[in-house]
Amino acid sequence: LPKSYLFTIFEEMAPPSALSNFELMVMLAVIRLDDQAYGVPITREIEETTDSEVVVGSVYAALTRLQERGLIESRLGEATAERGGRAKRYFRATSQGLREVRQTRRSLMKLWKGLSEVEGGRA
Amino acid sequence: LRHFRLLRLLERCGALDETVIGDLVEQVYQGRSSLWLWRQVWASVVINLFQKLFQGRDPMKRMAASMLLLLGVFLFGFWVGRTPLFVTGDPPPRLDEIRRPSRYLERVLIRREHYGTIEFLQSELNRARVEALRESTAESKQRVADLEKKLDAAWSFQRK
Repeated sequence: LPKSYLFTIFEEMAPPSALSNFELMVMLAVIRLDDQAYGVPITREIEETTDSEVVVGSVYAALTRLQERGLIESRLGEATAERGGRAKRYFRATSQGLREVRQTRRSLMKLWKGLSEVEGGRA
Repeated sequence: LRHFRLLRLLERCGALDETVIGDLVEQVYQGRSSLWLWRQVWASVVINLFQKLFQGRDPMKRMAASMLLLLGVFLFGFWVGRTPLFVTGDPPPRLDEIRRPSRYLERVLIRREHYGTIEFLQSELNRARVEALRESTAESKQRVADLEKKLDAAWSFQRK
């Protein structure tokens, strides 16, 4: 295989289609927060759900990936004094993003179905 | 204020995005500690760098970054392998000894010296045991008992 073809294959490779666990959490937080979805409340929402500290950078990394895949879109908001004059970036799920979340939910529901070992029993 | 100056510097370097820093500053104003801030900042810088290098669209950049990472791991392993402090089975330095390497070296040298003593005593004990079996005199048995006591004492010092 010539070297140039190898790079072409890399370019043509489709990005992973399924949402990862963390990406799904971020997507759900964005949908839940609706028009108030920017970094701070998204991070809070995930922290409250998982009961553990979340790195803001990892939330933004997931948001960037989701945006590159067209699942969310963003717009710059107002700059406030408590942010040191820096602007907020608001996120919103696109219709494709909502479709993807529904699809992931369906797949997960199918996988969860009939698993008596994980339904309220002892670990 | 000192923190925010450093944050501005990181922003100008391109290590962190304006919105990420804005979110961090906002949370500090809402009562988060400076320890939390710096933990978040450095973790975010690493994640951002990793994302730029390994998840970018340019395959050449990704490959170059992977090669550099592999080379770095190899060189680190090579350095560790060549460093005499790490290849003798000596104990790792304690926190106070990391700050004062001379203290660590002193402990290592004393330990090695005693290890030499233990080896010597062990060989002497073996020889005395063979002798005691062959001659079976009270004197040779006493010598074995003495050497066993000395060896025990040396081991207990070594374990400290």
